[in-house]
Formats: sequence, C-alpha cells, structure tokens
Amino acid sequence: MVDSPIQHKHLKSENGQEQLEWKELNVIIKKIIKSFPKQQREIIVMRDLDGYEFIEIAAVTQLKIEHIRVLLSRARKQLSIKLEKIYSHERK
Amino acid sequence: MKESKIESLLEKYKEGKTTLKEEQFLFDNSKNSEPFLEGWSTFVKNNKIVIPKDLNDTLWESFQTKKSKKQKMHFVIMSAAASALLLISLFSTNLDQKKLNYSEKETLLNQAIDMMTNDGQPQILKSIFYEDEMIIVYATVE
Repeated sequence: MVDSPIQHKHLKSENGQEQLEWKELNVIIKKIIKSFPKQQREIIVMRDLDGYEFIEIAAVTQLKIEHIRVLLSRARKQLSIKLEKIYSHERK
Repeated sequence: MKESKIESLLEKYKEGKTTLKEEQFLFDNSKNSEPFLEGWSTFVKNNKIVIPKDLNDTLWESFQTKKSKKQKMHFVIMSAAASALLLISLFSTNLDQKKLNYSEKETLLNQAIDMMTNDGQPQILKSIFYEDEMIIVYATVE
C-alpha cells in the first residue's frame, strides 16, 4: 500500500560530524515510525514522504478524510513527543 | 513575523490540518525552529520520493525494449513450433508408408500359409513303434 519504503540514503553533509548526526537521526526516526500502528505509519509516510493529497490517501486506504486527519495528527504528535524526548535527553 | 507564522503552522501541522503547500513552507523554513520540525524536515527532505525529470523517456524506452524482446521471443517460439510441426508431419507420413493395408496383409498371410502346407504330397501319419532310453522307432502309415 505504501509505495515509498523509507530507504537509507547517502547525504551530502558538510562534514563527517553532520553526516554521523544525520545517520543517527535517520535510524531514530525510522525506529519511531516503525513503532507506530500500521495505519498511522502508512498515512504519515503517504502524506509527508510521498506528498499525497488527503483525497488520494482516502482513495487508497478507504478511510474518511477526517479519520485520516486524526490518524495523521496522532502520528505527528507522537513523533514530535518522541523526538523532543530524545533531544532533551541529548542536551542533558 | 515569520517565526509566529511558522509556530501557528506547526500547530496546524500537528493537528493534520495543513495543506501540502503549507507543509512544504514549514519544511523549507525549519532551520533554527523547534528541534522536532528541524529533525523531521531533514528526514523528509532526504527520504522524499522525487519523480525523475526524464521519467517519461525512461519508461518509453523500457516499454520499447520489452516490446522488441517480446517480438523476438514470439518469433523464436513460432519458428520452433513450425519446425516441430514439420518434423511430426514427416514422421507420421513415413509411418503411414510402412503400414500395410488389409489386402496386402491378406496376400502375405496366404503366402505364409502356402509355405507351411505340403506341396500336394499325401500326409504321412507317424506313430511310435518302439521307444527306450536310447532309441525311438516310428512306424508310418500312408
């Protein structure tokens, strides 16, 4: 259903440190997304990575747009909380 | 001004109420904003599926090569089938030639029977006249 599996990519960062940080972040975010329930995972990938409109996601998932918005909101909020936690932990 | 806009958009984004355009604006202006947005937008930018510019040409080329491959394959299969058909038809005609019809069979059978029967000579009946371990003596009656 989701046509963009999150793939590892080489990044053109300015220095090694940045690249290392990016790789770490990439792994962390992938782990977080993997931990989401299936529908939330599919919807956040379809919207943010594949750039689909809500109507297109609704056609693919057979869900109502309002329901998609709720699932997307949950996924984004969870992602935000988990990332913030990680960043605050790093700052300490 | 811009920061407040980003902030309000971020709230909308988390509620799932932003448009694709607004989301793009958020991702483009994520630097030095909330760490979540900065991290997530970097991830999105680097993992986003981008349609290649020459996608149509590439697709068309791949279709063409597939088509020509199919045509070649079709030609090979057809020629193989034709050869097989030719061989089968040759073999079957040879077999038919080897087969005899009923009248020929009958003639051959009669010839064989004629060879087995006596040539008009009277039949000789043989009976054992004497027999032991070493010798058998026949007696004939004409």
